[in-house]
Amino acid sequence: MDPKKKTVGFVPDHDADTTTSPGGSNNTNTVNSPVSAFSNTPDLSSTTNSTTSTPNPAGSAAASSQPRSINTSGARSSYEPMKSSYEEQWGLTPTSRPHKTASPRDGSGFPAKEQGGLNKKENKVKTSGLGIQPNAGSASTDGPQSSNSTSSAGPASAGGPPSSGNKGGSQKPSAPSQKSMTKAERRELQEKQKAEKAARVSAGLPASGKKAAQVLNQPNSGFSPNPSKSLATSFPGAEAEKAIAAAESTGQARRREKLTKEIGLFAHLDPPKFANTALAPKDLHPAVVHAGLQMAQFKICGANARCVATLNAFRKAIQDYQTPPNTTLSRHIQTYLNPHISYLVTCRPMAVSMGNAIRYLKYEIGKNLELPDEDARALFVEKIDNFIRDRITMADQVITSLGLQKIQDGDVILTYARSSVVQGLLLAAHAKGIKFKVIVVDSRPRFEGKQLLRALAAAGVPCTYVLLTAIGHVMREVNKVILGAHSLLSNGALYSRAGTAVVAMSAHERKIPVIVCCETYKFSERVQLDSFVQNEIGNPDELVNDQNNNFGHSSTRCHPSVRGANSGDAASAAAGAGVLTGWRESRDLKLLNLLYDLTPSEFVTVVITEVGLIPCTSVPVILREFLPMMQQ
Amino acid sequence: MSKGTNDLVDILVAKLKRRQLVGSSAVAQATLKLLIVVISKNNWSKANDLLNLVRSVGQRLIEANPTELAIGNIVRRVLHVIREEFRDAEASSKSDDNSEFQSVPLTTSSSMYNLLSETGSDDKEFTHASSNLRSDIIQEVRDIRIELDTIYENIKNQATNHIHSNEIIMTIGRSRTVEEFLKMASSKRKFHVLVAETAPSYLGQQMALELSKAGIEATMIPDSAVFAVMSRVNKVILGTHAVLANGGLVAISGTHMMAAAAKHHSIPVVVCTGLYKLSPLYPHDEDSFNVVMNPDAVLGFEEGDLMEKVIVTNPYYDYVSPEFVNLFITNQGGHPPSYLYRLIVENYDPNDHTFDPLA
Repeated sequence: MDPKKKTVGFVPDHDADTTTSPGGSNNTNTVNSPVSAFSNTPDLSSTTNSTTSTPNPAGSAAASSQPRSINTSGARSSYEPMKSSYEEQWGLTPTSRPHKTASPRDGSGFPAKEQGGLNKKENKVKTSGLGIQPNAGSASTDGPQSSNSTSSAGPASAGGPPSSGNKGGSQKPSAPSQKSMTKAERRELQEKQKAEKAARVSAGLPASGKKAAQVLNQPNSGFSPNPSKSLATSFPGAEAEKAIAAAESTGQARRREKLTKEIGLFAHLDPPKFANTALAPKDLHPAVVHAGLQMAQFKICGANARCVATLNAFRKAIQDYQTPPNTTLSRHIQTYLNPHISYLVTCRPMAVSMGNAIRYLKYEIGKNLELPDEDARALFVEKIDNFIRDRITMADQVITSLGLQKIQDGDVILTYARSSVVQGLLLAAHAKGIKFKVIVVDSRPRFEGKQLLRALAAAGVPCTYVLLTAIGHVMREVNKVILGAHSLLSNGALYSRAGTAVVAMSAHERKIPVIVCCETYKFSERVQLDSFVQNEIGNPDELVNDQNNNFGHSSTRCHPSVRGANSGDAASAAAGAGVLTGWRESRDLKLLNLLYDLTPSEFVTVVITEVGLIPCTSVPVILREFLPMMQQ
Repeated sequence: MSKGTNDLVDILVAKLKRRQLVGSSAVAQATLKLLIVVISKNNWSKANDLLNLVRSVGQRLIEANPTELAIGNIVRRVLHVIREEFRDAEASSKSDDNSEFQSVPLTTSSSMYNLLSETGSDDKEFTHASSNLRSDIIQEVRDIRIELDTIYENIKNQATNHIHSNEIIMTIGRSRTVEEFLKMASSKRKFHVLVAETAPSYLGQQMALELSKAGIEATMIPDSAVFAVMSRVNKVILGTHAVLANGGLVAISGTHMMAAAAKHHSIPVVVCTGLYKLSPLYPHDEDSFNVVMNPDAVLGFEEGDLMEKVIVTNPYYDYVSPEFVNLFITNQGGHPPSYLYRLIVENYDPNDHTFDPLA
């Protein structure tokens, strides 16, 4: 396919359907050429929102009630590219092409589209977007100009270097090439550009017209890597407004530079993602949208919880699904679910557990293509329920009963962060009357161990709570380490919450057994030798200790007394500013919030699974049992 | 002891007890300043008088804060200097008596040079009356002070010998020695520093900020990511609170974890430290030099209901055993951990490892 297709499909150009420019018609052609039941032409989608092939009243009605109407102007013009990346979606490679296209490094394609959508449909959002521009007061002439230039007309920027609006292809003809001009015309053009540049500079925008357009687009772009901003776009609130105000108080142009706070070693990983319903195709099932948002905000966190949430959402989606004419449920349901899956990936990189569950679901769908609709629906719902029951709920119970054999009176058990299985095991051991002590090790920025600590303390288990740095101090008295897992890889490596490797290493160093609890459905065929090739980057701003920092979390990341305490800077501590509050201003300072790490298999003594206690190097053996399912 | 100096000692003891004065460097400076006053303002005629005076002051300071090992180190250095001065004085007076013995006895105790010479250095010989010893001793102690002042200079001048271009260096906590070392290196080399944030003191955050202000490319990582990124690190450069006689470190909490991760990946661990942090004591118990801080930084007091049910520990220091350290960079050059015993012998007298009064 031509290179255009990559961007066109997922980033449909809104200008294309309003102005009949050569660029626009080009787009339509490329989209149309691969015939698919789902490739709506932009024209269609702009006129009727409900031409997408799922006449699903329940879904669309509920969808409109969701706060995700930013791009209801539709024109998710085609599902075609999703289909082309079909294998990728089912295969669940965590890199999501849609997001890549939209990342700020790739230029202005997306903001332009976003702006177009806003101008047409969401006046409210648009005004708020314009309102938060820093120089709205000083450059009142600039405001209209910017909105013009990014909408289809764009007379103000027509003479300048190509703005993001121009990229949409709507106004290429309006600027004649300099070669064909006379000398006088050329001079006139230069004068005009100079004047524009001066105006921009005085308004505090980058001198380059292109940059200025990008900057002006930025506030409305759902993809701004500045977390507070994009979060604010979808969730307006007092805190978000504060964050915007803080962000806007610094110069726009400088912010542009600050955004590239990428760590060289991790440049291949996706930048952190943020809850943003603006990215969602419009006819997603609300349950999936809901689950996606919760995952993006880490309200649903942990491999099991995320997997169950996904499956439950998909079950609802399947239950509410209505087969379009001329097809059957089992043949069409995959196509229906694909955008849901890619939406989940845009929310947060897919967990291994989710990937395996979805692969299983797909396998079951593929096996039953000939079933009548209602039978198929019932079957798939049942299969989902069975998966949750057999591979997660029952598996956890078996793991708990196996694990109980390994906990004895007088044990001192150390665990890290929080794993639902480990929590269940410890509580069960306590309920059984075993007298043991637990040391909960925790780390920033999420302090997930606090949740486990609460549960254990409430049950009356004697607990000690330390941070990861004290691991050398507490490890002496420990005689067992029990850890949870995000995934076990085929080379026996344990892929789990960042910090697990340090804990396992410290235990290994002191010859303390390390027990990992992991359901077999989390086993992955992937092999990985270090924590770099595949990982997830969290929001770096979470590492800053300031008061604005506990969005999405009730627990405080850092107690006020710590803030600025060591610098002795009482003023900054009082203002709620942490040491690193201004880190984006600093040229050489970067923050890395790595979410996972890889524990080498040599550190793990035994893995407790529902099929028994196995060495972690036996992962591929267990995987063989599920081979038909995994080969999909 | 005169009233004036006694008051000065009391003031310093109070400061140490209240932890108003913390940190090896500050404590060492204050101790040395006090000892100069003690030596110059008090009456003593025999060596043993002076030694016992300094020992008693040292004893009080150490009891005020036993985890600040630098106090003891400085007191021992001063005692060592006093002994040497007395030996010199004794030797010169002897050589005046019978001039055929021109050779000055070697003063370094337990050196191989002494193997064949007669055993001399006994405390008894220090009963010799002093003439103008006082000024000599004070001059020598002032030299120690100059050494303390130039420690950072001496250490950071070795920076370019240890850091190559495009290196990735990891560090933890905030050590002035390491900070100056890296800043010096950055004037000649371009490299990248990863700083673990060192919860719950968050000194690593300050370190990252300071380094980035000096134009060094710094990335702050949470402590949990130390192992994950360690495989790409070229060197771990650590600061320390104290170095023990076996080469072990008493350093900020989290150092053990970082050093162990480095060892797993076979990455060299370099410790930058002034020699005044080198203590002749051995860690018979890993906790002996540790201090436990306010748990509030780990689990805030606002979670009181949870707090009363659980134990929260916030140790400030870690003990790092010597096998994790590859190199010490001191103001006298680079040394492997196995060489430290030699530095201890050169700088401290074996009689001064404890401060019980001399007979």
